[in-house]
Amino acid sequence: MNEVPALELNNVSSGYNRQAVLHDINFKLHEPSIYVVLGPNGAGKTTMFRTIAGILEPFSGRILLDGQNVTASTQARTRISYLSQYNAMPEEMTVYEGLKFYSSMVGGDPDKAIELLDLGQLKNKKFSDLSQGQKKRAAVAKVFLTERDLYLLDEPTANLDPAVSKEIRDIILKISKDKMILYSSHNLYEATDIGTYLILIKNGSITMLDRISNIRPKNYRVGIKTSTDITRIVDAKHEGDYYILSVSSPEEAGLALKKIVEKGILVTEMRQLDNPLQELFETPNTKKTLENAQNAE
Amino acid sequence: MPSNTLVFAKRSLSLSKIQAGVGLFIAAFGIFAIVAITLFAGSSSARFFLLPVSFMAFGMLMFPTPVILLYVYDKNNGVLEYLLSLGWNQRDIFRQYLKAALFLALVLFIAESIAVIIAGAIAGSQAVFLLDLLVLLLTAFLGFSVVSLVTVSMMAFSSLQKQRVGANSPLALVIGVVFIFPTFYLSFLGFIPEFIVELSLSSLASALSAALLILSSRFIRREKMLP
Repeated sequence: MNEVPALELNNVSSGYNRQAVLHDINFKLHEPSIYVVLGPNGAGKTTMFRTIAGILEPFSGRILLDGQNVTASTQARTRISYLSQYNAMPEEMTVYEGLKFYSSMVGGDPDKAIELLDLGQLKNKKFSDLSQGQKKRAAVAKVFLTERDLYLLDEPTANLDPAVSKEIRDIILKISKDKMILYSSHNLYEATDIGTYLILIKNGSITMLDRISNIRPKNYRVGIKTSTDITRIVDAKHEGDYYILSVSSPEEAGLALKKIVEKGILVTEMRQLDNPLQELFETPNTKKTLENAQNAE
Repeated sequence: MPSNTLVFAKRSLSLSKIQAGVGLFIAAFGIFAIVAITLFAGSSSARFFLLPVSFMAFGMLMFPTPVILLYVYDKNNGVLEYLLSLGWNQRDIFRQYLKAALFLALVLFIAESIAVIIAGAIAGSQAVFLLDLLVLLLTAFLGFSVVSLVTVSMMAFSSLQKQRVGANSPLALVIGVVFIFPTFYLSFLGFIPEFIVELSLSSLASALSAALLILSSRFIRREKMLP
């Protein structure tokens, strides 16, 4: 396994036209994993990615990749791959020509990237003639022309259909075994599906950095589909196809299920109705560092 | 930073051919003028010998205009942002597009030179041939310096990237017109004053574009290149 680099942001403030969007960002990441950067629109996700990628110069603070200052060192920046929300492919070129255009600058083999993203049938089509999903796949391919230490993926699955989104997430999951990936999204379900860590950003500040598995909501709403009425056995409300249980922990939901099954009732489905990350958008959070989260394990 | 001059030049022409066509037409008019003066009038019409410089330099300004359109296009679809993420800085990006613009101007200038040299050689007079070479020298100096100034200033100042009142070309082109247009009237002043003024304008344009290019990475913010 390759040695995984450490990404460190020290008191980083950054923005546009001398207006700060990010305020005193501090964190250090050193584990190969997918770090989902979550936040509402305008929170500063893209600005953070652009600053880490060296596109924007921070107003203050330093960004270090293995101790190398990303802003000052071109060499450090060549260890980072950035996928922006824009496709950034020359529209008048074919997919192959576009990838070759970039490979002449960064190296790598366009054919391998085409194979990785399953673009064989599209390689000779003009980029401007592709559908939105196909364009996104081609744009993602350029990020994987060469192997990098750190990948910054800004909403890579935005506006894509579920099948293409899953394909792209699978590729990202595959490379995340020995790479550090920062993946921005405002889709809570996608975040829990792909991420190991969560970086929550609000109003330009990091409000949480923790393992997603450590994030427990205060209330769980569990939907249960059964063959008969269970409202006399457990405290549940009947809504649509489900009986809804409000519990304070997954264990409590398990006990309720046990009670129902012991009465000989057939349970056909049971699932958590709300995303555990939902509350993070609704309630103010206390700052939690990655170190604390790792110590707690 | 690898050189992709040819790729950028080809991309520009595939994006828009109208301006390049207009450039060719104006340059052809200049070539026709110099050939006519050289072959039929001889050295006695020295007063008007520098008039074709204005046409040929104006052609050189128009011919690479697609490069500045490509810059705006690449900025809007995120290509410039991606180039910055690859470790390029503002000056690297400016240089890449500038080289493509100068390359296209060079292609046209070579065509102009061949036509003028052939006409000069046919005329037979050494004086006329030397005047033709002087015309080419002045055309090169004025043409390349104005192309540089227009390209670099358009990249440096986003307000010059706008296309006003239905115009098909960015506003920056006006800067080039301001430098070249007065030279059309300079023939009335006489050969020597015209030569001095054109040399001065070319020097000024060169100095301004070099200063902008050198200062670009210090004074031009990266966010100006973001979509």
